Formats: sequence, C-alpha cells, structure tokens
Amino acid sequence: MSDDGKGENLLEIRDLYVQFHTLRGIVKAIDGVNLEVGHGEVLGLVGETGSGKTVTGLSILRLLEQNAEITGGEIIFQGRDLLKLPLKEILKIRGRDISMIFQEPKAALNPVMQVGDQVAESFLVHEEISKKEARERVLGIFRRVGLPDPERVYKSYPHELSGGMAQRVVISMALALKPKLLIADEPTSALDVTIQAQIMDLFRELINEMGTSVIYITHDMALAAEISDRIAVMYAGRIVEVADTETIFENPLHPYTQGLLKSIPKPGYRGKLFSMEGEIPPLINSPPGCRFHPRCPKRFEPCDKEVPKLMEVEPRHKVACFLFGGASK
Amino acid sequence: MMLEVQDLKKYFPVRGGVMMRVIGHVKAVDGVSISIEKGEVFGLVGESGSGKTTLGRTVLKLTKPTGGRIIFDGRDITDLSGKDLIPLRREMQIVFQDPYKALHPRKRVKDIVGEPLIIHEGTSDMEVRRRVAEMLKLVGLNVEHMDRYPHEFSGGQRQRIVIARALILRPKFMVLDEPTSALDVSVQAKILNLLSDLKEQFDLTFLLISHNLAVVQHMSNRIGVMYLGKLMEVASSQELFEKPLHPYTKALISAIPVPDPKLAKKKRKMTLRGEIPSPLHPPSGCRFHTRCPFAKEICEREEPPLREVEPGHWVACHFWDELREVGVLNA
Repeated sequence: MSDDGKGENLLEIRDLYVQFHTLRGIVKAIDGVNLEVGHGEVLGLVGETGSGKTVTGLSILRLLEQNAEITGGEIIFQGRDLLKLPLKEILKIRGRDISMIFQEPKAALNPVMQVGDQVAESFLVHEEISKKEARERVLGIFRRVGLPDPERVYKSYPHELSGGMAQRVVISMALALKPKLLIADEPTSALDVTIQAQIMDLFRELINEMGTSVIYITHDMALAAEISDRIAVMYAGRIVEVADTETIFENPLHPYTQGLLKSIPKPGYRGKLFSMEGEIPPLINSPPGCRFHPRCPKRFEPCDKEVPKLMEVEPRHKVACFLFGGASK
Repeated sequence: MMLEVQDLKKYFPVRGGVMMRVIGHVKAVDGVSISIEKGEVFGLVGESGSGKTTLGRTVLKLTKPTGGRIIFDGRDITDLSGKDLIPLRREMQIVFQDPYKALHPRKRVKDIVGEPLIIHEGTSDMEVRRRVAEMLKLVGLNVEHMDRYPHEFSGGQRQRIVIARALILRPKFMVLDEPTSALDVSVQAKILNLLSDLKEQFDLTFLLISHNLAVVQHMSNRIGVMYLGKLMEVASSQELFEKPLHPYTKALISAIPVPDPKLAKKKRKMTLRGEIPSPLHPPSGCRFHTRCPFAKEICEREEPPLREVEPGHWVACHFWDELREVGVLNA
C-alpha cells in the first residue's frame, strides 16, 4: 500500500472493516477498505447493490445503524481518527467539516418545519450569529443554488417542493458551512434526467467554486465519469480498482471493472450486451479468497484461496487482482 | 400492423372541495397516435408525468381510454370490456418495473408462472408442471426453482419469473414498463439480452417504456418521445439520436451521462431550465415552451401538430426547420 505522503490527503481510510449483526448471521459488509481523498478532489465511489459504497460513506460520519459494528481500521481526517473521537466531537464535524447528501431529498428534510429554517439551523448550531443574519445567509445560498423565488421557498414545507427543488435545498444545507468534504450518496438517482443534468451542473460549479473535496457515491459509471477526477470501484465489500477517471475507462484492469463497463448499453451499439457470469453473491456467505472469483473469466489457482491486495501497478492505478501481482498478506 | 393507436386520450378526474366534485382533469395521455409493426420494438421515452406508463396501460385496456381508438392485430378493441377482454389477455402481456411487487409472496413459482394456463386453458396439473418447467428453462432458470417462493430469488431472477409468467400463454405483444430500472447494471445486461432472445424466438412485438434513453436506444427500432401527455417526436432509433429535430429530444439526449470521459468533454450540452410543469395545468400552446431555450411568442399561443417532416420522422415543433438549419440541435 503506497501512502501518497502525509498531509497530501484530506481523508484516509485504512483497513476498514464493518460488520452487520443480522438475524441470519454476521454480514461482512466492508472487508478491508483502503481509500484516500485528496484536497479538492472528486472521488467517484462506484459499485452495484451490496458493494458497500454507502456503508463506507456512512462509516466516515459514524452514521451506521445500531446493528453495525466497525471492527477494525482507521479513518483519518485532518490528522484525527474519526473512529476514535468521542461522539461530541463527531457532532461538531458533521455539517461543518464533513456533510452528506442522500438520494431521497425529502427524507432528509423535516416535514413539519419550513425548509429555510432547517438550513438556517446549521448556521445557528455551528456559528454565533443572529437569526436574522442566518436568514439572510440562507436566502443568499438559495439564490446561489438556483432556487426560484427564495423568499417563498424559505417559507415552504418539504411536501410543497418538487424533487429537484428539494435536492437544491438539501445541497444548500450541506454546503452552507463550506465543508471540506462532501459525501454525496446517489444524489440524483431519484430525479428525472433533465433535472439530474441541472443538479450535476450546479454540483460541478459549487465544488469548483468552494474547492470542496467530494466522495460521489453512485451505481452509474457514466455519471461518475462526468464528475469525478478519480474512480474507485467496489465489489462485495472491497475496493477492486482505483484510478484516474480516464484510466478506468481506457485501461480497466480488474476483470470486474472490465465486465461492468462492457455491460452498459452504449450509443450506436445494438448487438448483444456483455453479461458477466453469475450474480452478485449474498454477503452473508461471501466466497472465500477474491470475492469476485466465482464470476471471474480469468480466475486461476490462488483466487479462491487468498485475498488479493490492492496494489499500485502503474502510477496512480491500483488493482486488487492476482493477475497483476496482488500477492497476499 | 400489430398495434395502431389513434388520437388516444386518457384523462383522470381530479376531485376536490367539500363535495369531492370533479374539479379538473389530469390529461395523462392527450391525443397520441402511434403504430407498431409486427416484430418491431417501439421505445417510448419520457420523464415523470409524460404519460408513458398510462399510455402502456391504456393500449392493453388495463384502464379505459377517454377517447381515440386502439386497433390490435386488425381488431378494434377500444370498446371491449369485461369477458370480451379475456381472450385478448392471452395475446398481450405486460412486465412491470418492480419484480419485488409483481410476485405473490406466498405462492410458489410453479403457481405464479402456471396460473395463466389454468385460467385460460384449464390445463391439468401434470401439464402445468411440464410447461412451467419448459418456460423456466427458456428464461434461464431451472426446474428445481419451481417449488420455491419469490423471496428466495434475487432481483434479476425474479424479473425472469415475471417474464416466464408473461410468456407462458405465448402472447404476440408485450408492454415492457421499465423492465430493468430496479436492477443493477450487470443484471440489466442479462435481462435485456434475454428479452432480445425471446423476442426472436417467439416472434414478439414490444412496446418498451423507459426513462433510460440508453436502454431504449439499445433495444428499439423506433422511438417516440413524450412530454406531458403528448408525443414531441417519433423517428427511427438511429435518426432520433443522430438528428434530433425537437429541442426536448436534444435536451434529453444531452442529459444522459456518457460512459466515456473523452466523449463527455466533447459533448455539446443543452441543459433545460426550470421544472417539469404539473400535468394538471400543462402550459398553453406548445407544452414545452416554458422550458424551451428557443421558444418564441407563437409557441405560447399555438400548439404545433405532430407532422411527418421526413419519411418516418415526425416532430411537433413550430421551428424544427429553422433549428435544423442553424444546427443548434446537432450532436
């Protein structure tokens, strides 16, 4: 594991393990994840159902549910391990230094409170300003995120807003305090495509303007391509490949990344779509060794016995696969 | 011709006030004409409120049309109801988006897939088992799955069960309403391939409804673009993507993320302003004028008809010709 020099990264996840205790047994949702996010970098975290992309995001802010247990690892943010901080400290970090946006904007809003007051709350909690000042600043942000008639939106309740408008409100709330890191979990998946395009444009502008680092969680490789500097591909609780966005698309090395890219319908191509063998394994009894091996067209001896390590095989390009070394621990 | 829809309308009453009287109508489908040839895949794209799902349900007579005609395989089925519809159900089927909701949780696969045989043909139990087994194989499941319950299957497998049930009576025509929207990409590829195979094998005709343009383009021969209950443009799949003539089509195409970072940078973007208006109060004139970057005064007043401007290429825009000349809609 190469460390890109201390202080260069805003966030470093080292050897993270997360388990869920369920009625049917222990689910190893995150099984040794290593990931860095640079200053001002947009990192796309891509994976299918059960890959652990959302759990990774939630772990950073310690928002996991009761039945989840972080069994190992460190999450270093600005020199401090978030997993060891007392909850009081985490509460100060949430919203101010790191904030998060979810797929369903309306689920993130209090249904019986005017949305303007909800955004103002973040100022009132973290900064010492008057209600009037807070209100002025909220209206300013509403204008900035392109909400029409900010005064009226301020007084609206969530159910009075469309999905796109609600997501703009949530974005205002998340970026109100100019956090250093934004975790966006499928923020446009519930929206129509033309509205998604608007929100993506807005995102890009705001991120550039504020220099915020972003972890952009999505199942959509194409969407990740449009916004990310770098992409990490997850499969069944592990990171299988990380590289710059163009590299991932031009020279994917992991057989899973290759398969995933080939499965996407592309403009102008009408033949058979590539389809990977088998299905995503249930995490409750995930395959031994490399978790992808039962579906992998290139599997060989070590794959079902040992876990391949995420190794740098070219500058800025890491893969966890025995085809490229991956010598195990 | 497998299906001909002429000036189809479906209005839903909106009730309000103390007496719950009808105070207006949502014109979910407001005068749509399409024809689908035998063996064709016709794709229907649109966003929320475009009426694409209502259109799919109305042509199958799952809901009664408010106006217009539906001609299915040469027969006018617009006014059929009750018992007269039963023979029709054998010939037309639907696959819905969510395979988790479409299957009865307490029934075994055999009963789910075999039920239509019992209802329509009074098939014996032995024969049902034989035909269900055969069908399960065709959709990529196996005989052992017959006595299991839906919760034992993954999303992709469930969608295969849904497809097996839809196909067991050997229909001619299927409406696929967002058949892969609830599935992961790697599973989606499998289901789309399966649908293409089955289409060839059984000589099927599809009406494919989706908000996912990439999926629709991949599968369809022709595509219709809907916006607030009306067709904006109809053309062959290739024409529509290479030479869109309606600004809304162009906006939809440019809104799809491209799975190629180099192409993405070169792509000419056209982001629409504003929100999709409520179908309860659609804008006057051209329904798209409130979001159209090229709208002029006439667009507010007059509704442009859907016209065939080139062989097989239909568009409803006052300025399609001018826009094409200045090339603003080019890829």
